[in-house]
Amino acid sequence: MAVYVDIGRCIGCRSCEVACERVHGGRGHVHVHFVGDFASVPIFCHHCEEASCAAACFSGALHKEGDRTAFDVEKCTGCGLCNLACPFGVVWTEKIAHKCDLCEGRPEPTCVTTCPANALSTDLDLLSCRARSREARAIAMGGRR
Amino acid sequence: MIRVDPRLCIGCLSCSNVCPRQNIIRTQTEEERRIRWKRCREECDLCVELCPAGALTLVPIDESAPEPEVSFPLVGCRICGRSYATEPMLLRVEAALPKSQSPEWVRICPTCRRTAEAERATGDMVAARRRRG
Amino acid sequence: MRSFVFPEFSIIRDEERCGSCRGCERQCAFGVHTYDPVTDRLTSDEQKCAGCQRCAIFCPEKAIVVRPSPSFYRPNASWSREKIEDLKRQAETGGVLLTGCGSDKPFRIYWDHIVLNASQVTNPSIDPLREPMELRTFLGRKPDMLDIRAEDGDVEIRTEISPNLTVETPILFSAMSYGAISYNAFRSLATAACRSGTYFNTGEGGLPREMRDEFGRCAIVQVASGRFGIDAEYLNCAQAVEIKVGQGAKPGIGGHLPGEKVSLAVAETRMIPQGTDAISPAPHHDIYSIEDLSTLITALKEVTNYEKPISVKIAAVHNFAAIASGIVRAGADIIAIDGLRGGTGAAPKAIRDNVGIPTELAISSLDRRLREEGIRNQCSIIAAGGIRCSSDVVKAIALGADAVYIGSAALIAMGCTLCQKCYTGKCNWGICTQDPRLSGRLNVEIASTRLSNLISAWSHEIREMLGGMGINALESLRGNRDHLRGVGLYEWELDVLGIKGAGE
Repeated sequence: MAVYVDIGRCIGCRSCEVACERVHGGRGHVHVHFVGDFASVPIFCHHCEEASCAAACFSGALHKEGDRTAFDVEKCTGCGLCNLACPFGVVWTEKIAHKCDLCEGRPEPTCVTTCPANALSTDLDLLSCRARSREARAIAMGGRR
Repeated sequence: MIRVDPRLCIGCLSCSNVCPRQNIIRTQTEEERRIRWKRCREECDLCVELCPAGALTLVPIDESAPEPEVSFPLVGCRICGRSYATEPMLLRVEAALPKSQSPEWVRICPTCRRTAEAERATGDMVAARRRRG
Repeated sequence: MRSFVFPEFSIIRDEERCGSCRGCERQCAFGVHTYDPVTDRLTSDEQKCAGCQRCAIFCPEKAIVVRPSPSFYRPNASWSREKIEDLKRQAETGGVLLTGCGSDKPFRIYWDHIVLNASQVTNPSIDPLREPMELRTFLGRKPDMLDIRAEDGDVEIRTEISPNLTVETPILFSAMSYGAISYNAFRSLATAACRSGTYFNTGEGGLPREMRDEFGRCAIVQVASGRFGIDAEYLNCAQAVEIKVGQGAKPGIGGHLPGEKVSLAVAETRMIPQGTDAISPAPHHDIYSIEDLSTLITALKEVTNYEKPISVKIAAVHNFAAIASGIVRAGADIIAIDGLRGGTGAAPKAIRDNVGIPTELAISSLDRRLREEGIRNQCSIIAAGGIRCSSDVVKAIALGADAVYIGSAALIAMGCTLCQKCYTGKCNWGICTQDPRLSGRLNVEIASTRLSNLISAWSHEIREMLGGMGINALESLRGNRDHLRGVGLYEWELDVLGIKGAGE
């Protein structure tokens, strides 16, 4: 499981950032990036299948647990190797590592429930279905992408 | 007190993070990172236990021995040039990652990685929106 | 199943002092303390606490207090809290209750009821700082008679002298095997023994090959019922060989080192496959009589070319003096007796707390028995089990021992707090564990210094006490019960100890 983004729907309001910070005691794990004036996209932990952060972690604090990359705060020493290993730059180190835990203990990640534009979901099929129907509609209406 | 093997130390600050007494002092400038181990009377061994490189050893206190200190030049990001890590840390990460992934991103700072990822993810859409004006 | 047992300890964290450094969390192998990154606070799960005090001692702000939990069951003289909790635990697990260390039950500690003598006026006391004081002891068989020729001032001893161990002070480290204790703890004992001119006992787990050259000169190697790690080289590298028949903490019971503790290095030393349980049977399966024991003693003497004394260690049980007499006749040069309060890495609680007799009584009755039979000179006695301080050593020697073994005392010097969780293999002090992270906490250099300091401190105190009694050599004290008086003891106890009551 991971949080997927429907980029077309992101309005750059940064609500996900705020929600994440609120849940994680002021240290958020989402960062919304703006690409010129044209697009915005929140950058998340992908919970990679071959997680680089887990490969670099010497203490076993970051590890694969099913299909998510879990973090064991007890084992973390804050060495920062995960931060250097993450290809997307979404593991932060500040005393200890901070990364998306998919809001453990909650039914849905808070960013997903918060997003006012419904751009986030943990259901990949739902998002891709929406994106495809939007494309289809655009083609049908204007014949142009 | 702690004895440091400067050949093994990678300058990651793990020890400094776990020291309950803040006896491991770090100072960082744009160019270099310095770590100094104060002459510590504790025998708590946490820094030794949690050093990823196995560079530390607990030895009986010796008042005449100098306080161990290491310094590392910081490596700059290939894109923005801002320094972000020490060379041994990057080498260690590169060694830990599978070769098949050809981890070139290691030489880029995490901020630039995020920007690159954002640009890559929105590439098609931005191009389309540009065309539309 | 939900546990109906109270946490044994309550952990009080002074929230104002606590700097959330997470030291306690990282120190505790039992996982008592947890850090919550959201609130930046630490919380404790008291149910898991063993009361080893590692967190409290290493908390830089001294913010943690671990104390016995004040919660109680309705007071009942018959059903103490311990009895109720043990019963509940057994109802939950259906198994034998395990424990570590020596018995903590309030059996009478005779050391505390024996007082020493001192010289006044007619027999002057001796100042050990100004005059020589001999603590050197020879352990082993002494000849019945010495045939000495003196010619032109040269003295020639014609009697063949049996091999003896020379110890500079009558305190030896008792058997603690590598496997039960960590490599660092084992090496610390060896280092300290060599430095202090005494001996450490390898226990039944063998002696790692790389330690043989360096520490063989201060090692007593053990042959136990599991016969782990024994070959001719092992037997010959040490200065004495000990056959372990019984252990004070668990007489009549074998040993069981769980597979998780059998790391590659332990496996190599014990000569067993890695990760398999190392099980020592309760009896030696080749010893069912004194004659069988004699065969083994002779075999060991053959292997070691009659150059090393052979010791036999037995637990002090009801009729042990008669057995010990047989052991001496079987050819043993040293008898080690381990009393009721002897320690262990793991033993069933029911056995540890209920089987055996106190060391003090055992020493005295063994010494008397061997004297009566006229064979006291044929062996030395090493007393073990519950020796806590230098005066205990002096009293043991006055009751008839030649030297003592210290086990728990040595571990306490290295950091042990007698939390009795040795059997979990998670010793936070790095002593009774094979986890490389935990055992790394015990620094050989520092721990061996603590141990040799302890030996030297006790030796100084023993000299002071001897000087006070007007004795200048430990030999003059051995079995010298005139220097002891009992306080608050019954007639039969005084009889067994062979001492008079105070004032008599």
